Amino acid sequence: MRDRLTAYVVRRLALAVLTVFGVVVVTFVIGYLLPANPARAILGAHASAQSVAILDKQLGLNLPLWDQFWIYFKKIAVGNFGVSYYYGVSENALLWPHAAKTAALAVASLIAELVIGIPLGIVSAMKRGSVFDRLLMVLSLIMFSVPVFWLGVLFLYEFGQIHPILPLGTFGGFLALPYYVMPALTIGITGAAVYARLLRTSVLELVNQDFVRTARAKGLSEGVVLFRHIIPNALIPFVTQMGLDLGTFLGGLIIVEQVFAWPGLGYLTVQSIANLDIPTILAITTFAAIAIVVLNIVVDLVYALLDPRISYS
Amino acid sequence: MARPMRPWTALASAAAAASVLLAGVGVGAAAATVHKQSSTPVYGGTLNLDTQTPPQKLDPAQVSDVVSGQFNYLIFNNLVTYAKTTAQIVPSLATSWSHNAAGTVWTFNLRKGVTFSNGDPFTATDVAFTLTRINEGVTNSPYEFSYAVIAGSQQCLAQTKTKPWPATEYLSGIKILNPYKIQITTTTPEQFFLNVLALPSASIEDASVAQNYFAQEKAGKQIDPVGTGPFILQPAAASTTLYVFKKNPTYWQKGLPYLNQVDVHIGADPTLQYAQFLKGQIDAMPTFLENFDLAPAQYLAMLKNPKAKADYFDVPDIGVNYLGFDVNTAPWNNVKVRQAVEYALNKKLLDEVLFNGRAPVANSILPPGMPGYQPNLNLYPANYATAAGQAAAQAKAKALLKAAGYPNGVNGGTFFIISGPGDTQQASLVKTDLAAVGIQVQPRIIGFNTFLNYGEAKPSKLGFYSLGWTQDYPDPQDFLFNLFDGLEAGQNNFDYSNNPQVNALLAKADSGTNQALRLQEYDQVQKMVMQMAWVVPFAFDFQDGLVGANVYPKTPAIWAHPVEPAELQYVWIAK
Amino acid sequence: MRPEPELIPSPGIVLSEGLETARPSSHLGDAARRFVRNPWAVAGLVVVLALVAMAILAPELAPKNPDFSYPNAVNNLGQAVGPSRGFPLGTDELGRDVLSRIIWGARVSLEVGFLATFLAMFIGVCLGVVAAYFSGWVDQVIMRFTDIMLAFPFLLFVIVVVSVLRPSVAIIIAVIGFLGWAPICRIARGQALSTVRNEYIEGARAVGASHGRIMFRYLLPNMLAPIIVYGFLQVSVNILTEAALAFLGLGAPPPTPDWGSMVSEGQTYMQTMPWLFFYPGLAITLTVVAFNLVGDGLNEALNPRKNY
Repeated sequence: MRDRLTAYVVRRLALAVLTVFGVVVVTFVIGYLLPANPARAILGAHASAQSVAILDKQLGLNLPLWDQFWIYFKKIAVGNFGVSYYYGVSENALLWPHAAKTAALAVASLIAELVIGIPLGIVSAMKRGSVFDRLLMVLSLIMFSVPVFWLGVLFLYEFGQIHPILPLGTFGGFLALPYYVMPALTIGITGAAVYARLLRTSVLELVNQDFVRTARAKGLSEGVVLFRHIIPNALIPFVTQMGLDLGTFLGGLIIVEQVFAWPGLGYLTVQSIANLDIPTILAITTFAAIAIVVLNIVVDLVYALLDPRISYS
Repeated sequence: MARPMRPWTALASAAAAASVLLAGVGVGAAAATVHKQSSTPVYGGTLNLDTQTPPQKLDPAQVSDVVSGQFNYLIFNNLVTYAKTTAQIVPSLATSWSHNAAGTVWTFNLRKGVTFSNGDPFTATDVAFTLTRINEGVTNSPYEFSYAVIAGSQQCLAQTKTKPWPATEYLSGIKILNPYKIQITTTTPEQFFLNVLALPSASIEDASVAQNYFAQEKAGKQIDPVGTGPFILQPAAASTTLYVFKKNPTYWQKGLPYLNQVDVHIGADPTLQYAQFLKGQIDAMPTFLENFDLAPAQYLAMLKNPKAKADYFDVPDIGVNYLGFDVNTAPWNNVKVRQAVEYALNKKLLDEVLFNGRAPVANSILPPGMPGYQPNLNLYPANYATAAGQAAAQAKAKALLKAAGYPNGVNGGTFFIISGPGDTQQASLVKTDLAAVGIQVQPRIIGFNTFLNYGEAKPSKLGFYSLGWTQDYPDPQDFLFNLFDGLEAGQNNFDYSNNPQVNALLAKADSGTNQALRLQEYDQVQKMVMQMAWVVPFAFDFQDGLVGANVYPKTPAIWAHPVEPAELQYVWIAK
Repeated sequence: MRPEPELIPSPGIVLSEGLETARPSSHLGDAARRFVRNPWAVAGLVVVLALVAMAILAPELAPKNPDFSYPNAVNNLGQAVGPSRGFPLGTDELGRDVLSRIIWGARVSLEVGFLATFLAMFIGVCLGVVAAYFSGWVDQVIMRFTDIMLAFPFLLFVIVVVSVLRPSVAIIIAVIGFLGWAPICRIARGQALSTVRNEYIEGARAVGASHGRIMFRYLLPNMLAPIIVYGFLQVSVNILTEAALAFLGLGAPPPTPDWGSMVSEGQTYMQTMPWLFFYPGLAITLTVVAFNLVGDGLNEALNPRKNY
C-alpha cells in the first residue's frame, strides 16, 4: 500500500510539473503574439520615438523567440514574474493583494453555493419522484442557465438602485460583509444547481446500498440514517466535482468581478488586456493555471483520505 | 494636445489620460452655473474622492497620466505655477525671476524657509538635482524632450544611458549661485519656458531622497515621494485601494491647506462614483482627478436627481473632436470622398449620444474661446433634425461619391477608434452613417498607445480614425500647425497632409508679429483645410463635474482649471 | 489515481449523469416515446426550434432595421425611448429598436453555440476514439495532452486568446472549439473503451477491416447517444461563453447585435434605461434554458435510470 501510494504521488506530481510547463510555454507564446509595443506602453503617449527605440533594445524585444523564452523561463523558475507595464510595480507585489480578494470572494461564493445547493439537493432527494422534485429540478436548471453577468446586473439594479439596501458593488474590506452578498449570491445561485443535482443523485444512489439497509435494520431513525450515514458519503463526489469545477468557478469569478468592480484577479485580467499590460496578463494566466493544478492535487489527496475504497493502480 | 475622447470606463486606455498634462497657457473658461459662495473657510475635515484608475507612477519624472499628475500637485511644488483660477504664471517655490535680453539665461530667486515633509530644507541643490535627473537617460522620462532646451541636456542624456550621474553633478546649463539663487541657461530662447517649469514632471524633489529613485525603480519598488506640497502621502502598499494624504503642518503657503486629510479611493467606475457621491461617501467627482466628464449615462441619471443637479457644474473646454484621414491613401486621397463623409455623418446624433448635447456641434476646427474661432464657417450644411434633411444630406454624399468615381460605393478600410467611453457607440454610429451612403468601414477599437504606434509607422497604418485635440496655449498655431503642417507629419499630424500653400501660410503666421494679420492668415488656413476636408470635425468640448453641497469653493475653475488639476489646498468643507 | 468520475467535467454534463458509462437504450423508438412524454423536454424543443427559425428568418421577422438609429428615438439630451407603441422593447442609447436587435442577436448566439460545439466535438471525439482504439503510448500521449488542456482555466484562456487575435465571430468559434475539446474527448474515450474490448472488434480486425473503418462503423455508433446529449448541453454552455465574452467587450464587433454586449451597454445605462440590460439577458436565459431542457430530456430518454 505504501509503495502504491508513493508511486501514485510521484506520478501525480510528475503530471503536475508537466502541466505547469505546458502552461508556461502556452502563456509565453500568447504573450509573444500580443500586438503591443511594450516600450511605448511603458513610456506612455508622449515619449519620443527615440526613447521608445532605446527602451525596446533594453527590454530585449528584438531577440529571437527561443532566447526570449529562455529568459522568461529562467525568471519564472525563480518566481520572478516581471514588472507590470501599467502599474510599474513587480507582478508579485501586484498579484498577491488581488489574489487575496479573489480568494475571499471565492470562499464566500463557495459557501453560498453549498448553502443553497445542499438543502436543495437533499429536499429533492427526499421528495423523489414527486411534482415538487420535478419543479425543483427545473428550478435548478433555470438557476444554472441564467447568465452570471445578467444575474449580477439584476441584483445591482434591484438591491443597489431600486431598493438600495446593499452597497453598489466593489470591495469594502475583507470583513465588510455587505459587499460580499451580491457577488457571492450571483455565483452561488448559478453554481448551486450543479451541487444540488449531484447531491440528489449520490443520495439516491446510496439509499439502496447495503450499509444503509444495515443501519435501517438496526432500527435507526430515517433522520439519523440520512445525516449520519448517507450525507457524509454523498459529499465525497462533491470533492471530485469541486476539483473539476475549478476552471469554471474561476471563469464565474472573472465575470462577477467585472460586474461588481471587485478588485480581484479577474478584474485585473480584464484591465490588463485593455491596457495591453503583457507581463500582468502572462503572470495572471500562469498563476491561475498553477493554482488550479495545485488545488487539483489537494482535491485528489482529500478524496484519497475520504474514500478508503479507491485503488491507486 | 492629441487625445482620444473622454475615456472613463473600465476599459479606458492608459495613456488616454496623459493628454491634458502638457497643457500650457489656456484661456480661463467661462463659468456656467454659479453656486452660493461660502465666505469663510473652515479648517479641518477629510475630503473623499474616487478614481477609477490608480496612479501609475509617483515619481514626478515618470508621471504621464492624469491621476499621478493630480497626486503630484498634492505632494510637490514647482518653481512656478498657475494662478488659482486662470492660466497666468505665478511664483511658487521661486519668488521672482528675470532673464537676459536674449531670453536664454534665466535667474530664479528661491523661497526661503521652506522645508520638505521630512524636514530637509529646500535649497537650490534640490532644483538643480531635479532638473538634471529628468534629463538623464536612465530616468526614461516621457517628458524629457520638454527639458531638452536646457543647455547640457544632450550630453547628460548620452552619458547616462545605463547609470545615473553622481547626485552632485548637474547639467552644464544649471548653475547654483547661492543656496537661494539658481541660474538656468537654455540653448534657444523659449517663449514657454515658464510653462515647462510648471509641468508636473518639473516638481521639485528632495535631492537626498530622489537620488535613490533609480535604484528603487530598478528593483520594482514604489518610490517614496517627498515634496514641499500642501499634503503628505501616507505610506501604504503598492496596489492599495486607498491613498491617504495628510495635511503638511509646515506648508509654506500660510494658512493652507484647510483640509486635514484627502482620501482617494481607487477602483470605482463612474457608475459607482456617482452612486457614492449621491450617498455622500465621496465629496466631488470626477473632473480634476481623472479629467473626465460625467459619462452620458451618469449625466442622464443626474438630471433626474434634483440634489445632484444642484451640485453640477459645466464649463466649455477648448478642444475639438474630429474624424481624420490619411490623405495620401485611397480612397481617402480623393477630396470628394472626404467631403462625402462630411455630409454622411449625423453630427447631431453623435453629439447627443456621446455628449448628451453638452458639447457644441463642430463644423470648423478652432473651438469657441480660441482666437480665430469662426462661428459662421459651415461649408457642408446638413440638417439631420428632420428626415427630409437627412435624405438630402445623404443624397449629396452619394453624388459626391459618384463624382469621385465610386457610383456603387467604396470600401474605406479600417476605422480606428481609441478605447474609452462611447467607443462602441461611435463605432456603430459612424459605420452605419457611412454605410447608408455606400462607404463600408470596419471599426476597430484600440488603445491610445497602439494608436500612436500605428500613426507613427511608416507608412502610417491609420487610414481613417477618430481623434481629438485640446489646446495647449491660446493661439491658433497650437491647433493648425500641429495638426496640418507638413513638418508635423507623424508627430501630431496623422493626416500626413503636406500642402505647400498651407505650410507657407503657417510659417508666415507663426513668426509674424502683427496679431490681426496673423489671425487673417490662420483664418485662410482653416478655410483651406475645411475646403479640402482633411478632417471632419463633429463636436467641440466641455468639462463638467459634481461638487458636494458642503464643499467649497464653488468656483468651477478650481475644480476644472483650464490648465492643471485642481489645487486642493484651497478647498474646505463647511460644517 | 482518483477514479475516472462518472460525472463528467463540465457542469452542463452533471445535469445528465453518467455519460461515460451510459449504456444506450435498445430502441430509438422507446427513447423517442420517453422524450415526447416529458412535457418539459418538449417545451424546450419547441423553443429551440422557434429560436432557430427566428435566427434564420430575422430579416423578415424583425419589425425594424436593427442598425438604424431612428430620428427622435433619442432626445437632444441622449435619453432613449422606453417600451412604447413604436418600439415594443424600447430603443437603445443610439436610437435603435431593441426588439429587432434581440431578434437578430439570436444569429450570433446560435452560430457560435452550434459551430463551436461542433468543432470541439469533432476534435474531441476523433482524439478520444483514436486514444481508445490504439491504446498504448498513443493513448497515454493523448490523455496527458487532455489532462493539460483540462488544467487550463477555460474562460480565462479564451478571454486572453480572443483578445490577442482580435474578436470576431469566426475567431470566437475557433478559440472555443480548439480550447474546449478535452471533456468530450474523455467521454468519447470512455465510451469507446468499453466497446473496443468486444470480441467482434477483434473479429473485424482479423477479417482485415482497416482501422478507420472499425472506428467509424463500430465504435462511433455505440456512443451516439451520450454524444448527442453532451452536444446539446454543450451548445448552451457555449452560448453562455459567447455571451460572457461579449459582455467583457470581446464579442462580435459593433454594430452587430449581440445579446451579451447589449447587457454590458445596458448596465452602463441602468439608472435611466433599465430595459436595455433586461431584455437581452432574458433572451439569453430563455435560449439556454430551452437547450438545457432538451439536453436533459434527451438524457433521460436515452439513458433511463431505474429509480430516479
